[in-house]
Amino acid sequence: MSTTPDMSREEIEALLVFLANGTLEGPERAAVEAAVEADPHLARELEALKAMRARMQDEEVERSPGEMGLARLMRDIDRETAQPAAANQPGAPQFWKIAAVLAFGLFVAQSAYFGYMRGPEMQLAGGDDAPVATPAQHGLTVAFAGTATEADIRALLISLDLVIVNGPSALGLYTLAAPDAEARAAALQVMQTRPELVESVE
Amino acid sequence: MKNADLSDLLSRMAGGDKAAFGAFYKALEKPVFRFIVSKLNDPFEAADIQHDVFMDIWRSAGRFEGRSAVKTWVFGIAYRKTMDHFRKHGRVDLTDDIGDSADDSPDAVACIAATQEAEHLRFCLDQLKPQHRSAVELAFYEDMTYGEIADASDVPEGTIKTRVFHAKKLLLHCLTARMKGVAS
Repeated sequence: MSTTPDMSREEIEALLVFLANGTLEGPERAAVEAAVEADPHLARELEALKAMRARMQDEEVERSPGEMGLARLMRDIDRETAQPAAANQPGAPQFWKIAAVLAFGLFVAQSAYFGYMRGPEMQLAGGDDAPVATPAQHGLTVAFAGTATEADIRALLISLDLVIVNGPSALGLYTLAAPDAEARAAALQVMQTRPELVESVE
Repeated sequence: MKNADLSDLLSRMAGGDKAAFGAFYKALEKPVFRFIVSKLNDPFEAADIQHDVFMDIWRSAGRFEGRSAVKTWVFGIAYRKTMDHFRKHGRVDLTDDIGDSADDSPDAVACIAATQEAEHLRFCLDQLKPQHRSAVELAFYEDMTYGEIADASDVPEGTIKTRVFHAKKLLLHCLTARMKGVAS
């Protein structure tokens, strides 16, 4: 048989919160309910707390990272799981072949892109033979949708670990850099599924 | 999603099942994000902390022993990460000291009216210390028991009761003041 616990006024007031959320049970619940019954001030406080809880539960969750957040997590998980695997298989010829093809493809794409961006009228300070710094390693060229807000773009770039290294160009193109080829591939995949933010990406 | 289902997903995650991780993330991502962002008021910082929380969950899924509900365990990780963030940035005083409150008789009717305005409630929640706010949010957003909140916050149950007591008092005073148009 349950007995009513001997509770201080302070404890009863604290437990009022848990009567309001419906999690209080047993003798504690009985004791707090009895206190509420006997004290109109506590009864009004309980009503205020219930109203507060209802209001909080009705509130919309501010736009959470959602699918973007999951894509970012999956990318990092893949990265983490790939590292030990690579360490255990120093040969891993298939992996290096793929990496080499990707790196070469990327190099060709970057060279073509920067050649295009420089145009015939642009001269580098050190002359054309000077080594060209490539700011957009693992780069992507993107045109954002006209309706995409700065906040949308910022959220997208942060979630994909991308930084803007160039742009906007006269055509509205941005050059983005990813930390590595994997991140670039993941970002490309995600961006291709976000037409409301990204008009074109390559 | 029920605790048993979440627990099952965790077991699969411990074995490297990424699809289980995706399902787990989808089940808890929004409440965890709300819990974090409400204290930071910066969705980008909150997204980074949430990322760390879920990476920790993935890495430590195999260490979950089922001594608490899965949600309690998850919010415990989110709580620690958020508090670490505050400590690192020295943004708030994380002691449990409570300031004096001027008026000891909040008007419950005015509170209920003020609560109807989300803006008032948000303002008053913002006045609470993070650990007090967390206790109220876990009670009201997640309907946790005080024992579960104590587990998630890694403090004794008595501490949670004290935090809730003071948080409730400050909230009711603040809401009363807002409703009466008094700067609090």
